[in-house]
Amino acid sequence: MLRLGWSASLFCYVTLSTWLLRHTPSIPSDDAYFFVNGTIRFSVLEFRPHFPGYPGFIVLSKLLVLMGLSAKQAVFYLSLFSALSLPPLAAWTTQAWGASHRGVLLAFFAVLTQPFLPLVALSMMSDATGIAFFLAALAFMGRGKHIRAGCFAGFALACRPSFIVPVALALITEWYLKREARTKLFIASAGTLLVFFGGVFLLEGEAYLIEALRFTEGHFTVWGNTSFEQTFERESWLDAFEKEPIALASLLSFLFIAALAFLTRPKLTPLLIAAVAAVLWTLLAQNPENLRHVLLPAILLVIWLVNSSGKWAKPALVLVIVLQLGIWPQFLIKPVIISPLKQAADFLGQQPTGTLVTNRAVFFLRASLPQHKIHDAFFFDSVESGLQSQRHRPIWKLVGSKAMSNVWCNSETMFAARVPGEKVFSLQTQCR
Amino acid sequence: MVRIFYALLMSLLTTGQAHAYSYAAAGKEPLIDAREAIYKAVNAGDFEAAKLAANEISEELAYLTTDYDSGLSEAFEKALASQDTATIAVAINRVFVAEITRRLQAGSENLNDYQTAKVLVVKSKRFFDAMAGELPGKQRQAADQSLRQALEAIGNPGVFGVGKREADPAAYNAAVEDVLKALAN
Repeated sequence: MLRLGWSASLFCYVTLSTWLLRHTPSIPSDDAYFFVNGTIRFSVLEFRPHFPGYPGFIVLSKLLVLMGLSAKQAVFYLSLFSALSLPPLAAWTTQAWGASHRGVLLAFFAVLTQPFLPLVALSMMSDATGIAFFLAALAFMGRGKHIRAGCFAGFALACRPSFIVPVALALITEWYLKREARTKLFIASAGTLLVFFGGVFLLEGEAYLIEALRFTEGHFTVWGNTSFEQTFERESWLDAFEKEPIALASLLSFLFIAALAFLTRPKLTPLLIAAVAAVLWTLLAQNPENLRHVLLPAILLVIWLVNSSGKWAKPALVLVIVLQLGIWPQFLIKPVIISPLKQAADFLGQQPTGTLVTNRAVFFLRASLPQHKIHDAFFFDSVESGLQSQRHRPIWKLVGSKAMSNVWCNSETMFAARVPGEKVFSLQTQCR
Repeated sequence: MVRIFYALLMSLLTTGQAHAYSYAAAGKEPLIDAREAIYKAVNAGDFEAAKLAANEISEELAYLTTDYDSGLSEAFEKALASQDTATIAVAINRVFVAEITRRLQAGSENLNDYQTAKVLVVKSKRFFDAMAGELPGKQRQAADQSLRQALEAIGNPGVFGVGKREADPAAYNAAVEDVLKALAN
């Protein structure tokens, strides 16, 4: 039975890997564009990439460039192979924490079929790399190798600093539980972070600290989600999941199984704390527009559930895996292999001249489309004024949702998503 | 507490810098905020409100007029009095170009101080990004390319001397000239 399960899961792994590798590197967002620019020349002040600089991710992508890849390929394949490393790393982590052979297989399969794993793989973002290092840190904690655990936790934060809450709480829990590991954990994690962020500070100087304050405060008060609310409605997690019902059902199942497992008064472990922290942090502090944020809590829940003592947790996980596999036919047969953003850029690139209003990837589009005027929809009032006297026709609006105003014609050009959770773009033309 | 810490950091950075600037509240810039307020009023046909919004940046305008663009304040007032959206837009863009000139020229005077020069050029790029929507594509890309050349020309002290590159004042000044030429077209 176990052999059959591994055969099936390895077949699925090869299928997903082959399907993902069919895709050519194409930039899906401005953040990914900033990573590519940062790989060419690193400068946080110039948004190459933006604060906090993701130094671990940039170092790895620069290493790939040294091996002969272009910057765009380096970021793309780093993200893709990091995502493909997550099922085996999840299996290894569960094994390190004492799961049975069946549990290890379940963890591998449940992570492999995660609805948003393909999204993260093609995102050209640092999420998958950060999760991979975090899982390695948890695995080393389980094996009692605390120096390596601390180092990998540091690497995880150097790649994905927004994981600070679950990573820090997992470290603190291990620190609290294992007196003899305290010094090793502290020195290894703090030392690794110091090397990476100390390096960034040496490169950027005091201005890095100013940028830290400006960016953090600005993110929450000016250009974060709340700012975009001026022109576009912000989605809640439930709104976001409405478009992905199977993914919602899968995540709710995980949460339900976890809630039941909680009733059995589970043992305090870094796995438990990391999973709970990741769920709460994602719900409260992450942007529901980016469904890739769901991957970390989902993976941590899987690992904790496999290692929990609840007898019904494992059969329930099998059902969730079957449910998740139900999404695969939706994307495996899709012919789309480039990102919606690149499709839009290619379409607009074929138009001789015009004016575009968007708050999607303004920097990438400005760099890619020299024949068009491109307005940043964030500056709502100046854009509205500018459009009134605009002679640069046609005027388009590129949005990630339906148009809000009837001055935009109904005839839309749609740019399809490659994977579940990827935003479909639509291009609307202003009525004369 | 955060504000106190922020203010302390600010004072550390700005002490003793010629033409140094201070960050406004995070992500906010008086000129950019005033531009939005003016357009909001103009779009609503409320030109009195537009004048009030313009008063918020009267100090900045006076400073830019004195040091960088002698007819700026007068042109700005005339534009607002004309109540013509296109004329007002031209005047606002002229203010932005003066602000970009201010940052880039200050960068030229601080080429011996990498940190200051870099921050000044980056700041000028933020103003450029804010007005880039108004520019035809080719003009936008020419200015953007020249700004990147200016950033290259300020050199790099490297980390502990590794990767050190000296500043190139001639290349910097040529890049600044190209930026301003692209914006003037």
